[in-house]
Amino acid sequence: MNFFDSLKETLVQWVLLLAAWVFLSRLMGTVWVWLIEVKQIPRFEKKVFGFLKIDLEESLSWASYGVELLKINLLVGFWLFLLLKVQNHLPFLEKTLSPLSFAEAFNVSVSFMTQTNWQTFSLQERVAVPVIALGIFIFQFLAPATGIAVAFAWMRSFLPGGKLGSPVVDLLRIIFYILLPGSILYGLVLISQGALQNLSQELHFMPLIGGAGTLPQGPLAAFQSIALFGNNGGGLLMANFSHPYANPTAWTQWLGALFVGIIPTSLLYAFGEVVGRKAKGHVRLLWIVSFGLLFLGGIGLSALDHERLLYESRLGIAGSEVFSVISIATGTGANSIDYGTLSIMGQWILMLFMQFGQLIFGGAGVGFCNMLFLVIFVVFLGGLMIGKTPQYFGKKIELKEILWMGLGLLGTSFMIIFATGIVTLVQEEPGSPKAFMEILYAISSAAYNNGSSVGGSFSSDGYQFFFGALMFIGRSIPLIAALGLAGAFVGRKSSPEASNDLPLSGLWFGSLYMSLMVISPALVYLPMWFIGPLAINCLNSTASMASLGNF
Amino acid sequence: MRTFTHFSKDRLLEAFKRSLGKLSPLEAWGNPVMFSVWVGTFLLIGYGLWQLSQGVFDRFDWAITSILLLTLIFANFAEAFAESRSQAQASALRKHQQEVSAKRLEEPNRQSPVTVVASSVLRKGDYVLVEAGDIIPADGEVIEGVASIDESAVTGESAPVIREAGGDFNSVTGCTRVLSDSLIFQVTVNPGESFLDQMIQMVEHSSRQKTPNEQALNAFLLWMLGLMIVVTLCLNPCLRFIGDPGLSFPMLMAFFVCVAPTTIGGLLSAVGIAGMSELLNCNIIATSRRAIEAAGDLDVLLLDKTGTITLGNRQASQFLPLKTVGVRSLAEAAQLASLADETPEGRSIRVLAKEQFNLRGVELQGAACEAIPFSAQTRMSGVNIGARKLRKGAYDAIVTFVESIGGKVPAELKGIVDDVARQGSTPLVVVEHHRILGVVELKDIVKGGIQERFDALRKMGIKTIMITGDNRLTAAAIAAEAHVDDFLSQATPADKLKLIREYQAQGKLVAMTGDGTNDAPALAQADVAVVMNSGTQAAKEAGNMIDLDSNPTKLIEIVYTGKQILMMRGRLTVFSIASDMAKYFALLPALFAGMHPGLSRFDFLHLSSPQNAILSVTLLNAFTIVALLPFAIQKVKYQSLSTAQILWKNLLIYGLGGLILPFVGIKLIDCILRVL
Repeated sequence: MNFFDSLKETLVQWVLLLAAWVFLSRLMGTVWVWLIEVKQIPRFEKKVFGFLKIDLEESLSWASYGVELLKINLLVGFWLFLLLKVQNHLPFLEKTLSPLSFAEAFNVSVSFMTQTNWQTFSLQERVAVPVIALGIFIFQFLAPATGIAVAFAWMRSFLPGGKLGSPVVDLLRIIFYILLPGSILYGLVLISQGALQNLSQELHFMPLIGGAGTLPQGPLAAFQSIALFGNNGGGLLMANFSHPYANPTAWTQWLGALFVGIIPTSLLYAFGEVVGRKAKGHVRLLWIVSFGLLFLGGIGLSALDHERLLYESRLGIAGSEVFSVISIATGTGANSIDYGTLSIMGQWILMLFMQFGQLIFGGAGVGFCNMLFLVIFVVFLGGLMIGKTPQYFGKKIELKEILWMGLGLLGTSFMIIFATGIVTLVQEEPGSPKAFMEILYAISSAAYNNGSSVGGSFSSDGYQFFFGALMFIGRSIPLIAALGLAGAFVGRKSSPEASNDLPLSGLWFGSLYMSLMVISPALVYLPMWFIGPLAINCLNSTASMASLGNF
Repeated sequence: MRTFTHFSKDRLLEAFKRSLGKLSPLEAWGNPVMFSVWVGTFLLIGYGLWQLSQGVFDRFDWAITSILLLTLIFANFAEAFAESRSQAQASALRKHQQEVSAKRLEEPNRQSPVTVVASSVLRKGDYVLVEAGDIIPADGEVIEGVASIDESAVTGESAPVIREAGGDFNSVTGCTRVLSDSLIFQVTVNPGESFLDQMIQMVEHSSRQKTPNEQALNAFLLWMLGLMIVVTLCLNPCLRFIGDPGLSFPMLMAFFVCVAPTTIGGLLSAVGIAGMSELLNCNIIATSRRAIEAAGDLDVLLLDKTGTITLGNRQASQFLPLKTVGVRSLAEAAQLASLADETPEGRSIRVLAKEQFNLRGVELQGAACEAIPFSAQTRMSGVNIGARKLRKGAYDAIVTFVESIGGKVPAELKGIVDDVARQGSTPLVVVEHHRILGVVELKDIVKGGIQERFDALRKMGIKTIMITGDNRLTAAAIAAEAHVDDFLSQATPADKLKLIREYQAQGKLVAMTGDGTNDAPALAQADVAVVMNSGTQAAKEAGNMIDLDSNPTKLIEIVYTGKQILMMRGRLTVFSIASDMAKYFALLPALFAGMHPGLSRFDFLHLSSPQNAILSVTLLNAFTIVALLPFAIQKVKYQSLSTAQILWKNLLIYGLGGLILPFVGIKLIDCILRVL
């Protein structure tokens, strides 16, 4: 297939996605605003919360909000860990599976708690269906809800009244009003298209050629639908979303890309509505820039890899490219192709989307927070340059804000570089630039809670702990920083709009935002890119240009 | 204060000497970015010495070491150079702070015994007598007497000022000289706390305190610095992993210094100091740097009308008689009524009468003539000449007066008065006994060029509000003529305070100029309060800036300076970040080309050798600091552009410039190195 044919197909998919996201982000945006403002609560809901003895009006400080979220997550994390350790003693087992090792159980628990969903083995083969249903499934909803709740707190810091809200109320409302209905809807679509949905572990069959065969089984449709809608990204099967059981048709794949983007795009829209003022134009600019970059990444990938992607012949190249870029950019990390088969430059593009700060729409809630760290940095510099002490929608950006913003914007990069240094230091034998690339990619993927991979083997106990820690810290950094910022902002008096404010939309703000989005990761990662992807690319291109054609 | 020529040889030399002194670790500690360079440099020196002891001398390593040392010295030089102006200003001030003798009184009256003491002995509460020719020994408040004083030592203004007991002109400043007459004043400050002492302290220690924005910027630089340290530390493990020997220690240090934000780090304090001394140059002393920064953000400016927007004195411009009265007789009556009035207004009425009708003022003759001075109760003044009772005053005052003695106010008077007021002038009604004669129009003269200044402020997004005791109609007319956005008429001190509080409640930053004691509450409430040097001690204590020239439109300069400091910080940070990209692209291909020759395709600068590449980049890094120094401390003419225009101009010059210029610089330095 030549580039232009695949380009045509790609463009159609992008245009359809754009239209659907614009429509859906408005629709969902209004629901978000309703949830954020905690207003006009239906009577039955008041009754339910009354029955549960939860105060709907409660509002915590930023620190207690964070501690409360951490407690809930740790509790569920411990529950999952326990289930994984005793999974051979559970009832309703179709097949007794040996419990995971301590390191593996820790890694899997953290991995699902942090929306990373990164494992070194197939869940379906190693984890019993009851554990998946009663343990992992809780996190598939709780983890995105946690991120979104933090985004809620942050948006509320701009509302008059200075309340950040209550995490328990937020989590329950997000799960029951958004995550459950959305994932059920997409799950039904998946099932209707032929995705597998049952509670068996595996299916034994007699192949025609004789012998015995097993086919993996499980609640694939349900798992995959929330994995995509909630930006978790995991799959029960090693092949993730490229398996026909999970992703049966080209339609389910396109819809998958669509569902991945609904929450990130609509949360951004909701922010503009909540803040009011000139935030709508500002948010529209961020939306357009993000979509533009996403689109550029997609086109870049098809330009680089329209040949290699012949690996993927089931659902077509274009759809896989679109899905890959969106899945990586939003921190979902699900894959409908093997990213390890992409060209090195293709892999680099995917890694770029992570290292930009996972902020091009970004994962549920967290991506939104990441985007705002950069925005605050841009507003800080832009504000200085117009000669006004910087402020974001009337909230002054001073020492406290910069400390939190710095943590959010640079903290994860800090950790990635540090971790890469350590991993390369402890490796006894030197590797190739390709191995370096795999390490850098895996660490970025874990730290940004993406969960995708381009290869490499990190299954030793040491790595399980190491990556578990990376995922947990990588998850905590943006959440803590966003809550800290919310706490700093909520305490600040809001100054009114003035004609000499920094324009937060328009060409110049947009170009400053885009340049800093590129420059700030480049400052950190450029040496690494030189050692990894760029070096490999030079090696490849100088070695043989012709070999590319063989793929 | 005089202007100090910018780049004199002495100043450069002095700054250079001081920059060497700043190499001590105690001095370096204050600035985290430059401190990290300091640590790196001295580690390198140690490394070089260790190598020497092993009998190895590497020219390249020592070249890098000296370039890093140069970077440090340049950054110190930038600060020292900015300080040198403030230092000069401070020593100019200190020259005036001489020990003088003072005549201390036991009691605040002229009969009490005098002890002559040194000025340093004076304490708060002492009474001091000063006579013509004396130097005033301390700051104080006049208790008795009136004198003309030469304050040029403090203000640079040679015209003498009048200081008298009571009212708004009752404060005297130490080290100024009495020209005529004598007065008794009470000392209000202890030695070392005087106004001049404060000024010197402010000037000398301007780099010590950090403003909120500086703190924020420093926090960001610390984050960036930390990140760059980790990047540098992890470079060698990563390189060794792919089988490269890694970089030598000096190379690593060179790498670190190039990517650390040294441009902004090296110039940050210079920008702040320069702003402070820029204000001093316009004869403004800020008692807090926070206030200068706040000035850049001002939303609302409250200005006194008199002396700020209009020339201090109103002038009679026209006689407007009633229909039944001749204009000449009105002029004559007005002239007589003003005979005893020595205010500029009164004088201008006499002048106008003389000019228009050639009326010579009748001399006041002894007992037959009794002057009735203006009083706050009657709000009229005038004269009784024999049986003739002439009065002039504001419309409502005269109406009350005439009606109280049974006179009748003609209907047409109201029309004339309103017409005059609507034109922004003050109507002065003239009455003889109970017969109203007509109106004298006192015109307020709006200062030339003031409209442009207010227009400029409006473009900057600052709302100007004129405060005046005039009535609404007059105020509206003057406001329109002067192009102010709004006005507060018939303002009382409570009104001013309320207005400021209202704006602040909306989250706006308010500046105010004032001088009187009755302004003090409002000044204390305002975010930026500029007090005229002629003002009272209470007002000065309430304010956070003092204008030595007592020229209230200075607020505009203050706003410009505040904005300029912020802008410069933004520009330098953006330049720093942008130039890092360029340095990376010059450095990395050179550093890594050894292991993967293919990477040389990114080496579009084609530098002569990897060694030269590193030397050029580090040299460029050092010279950027001195190259940008003039921009960092110069006074930029503020252009009234919209914020979007300012943004794109700065982005193009400092952002794009920072991206492109270093390439040019690096290539240039490389060419020079190749020749050497």
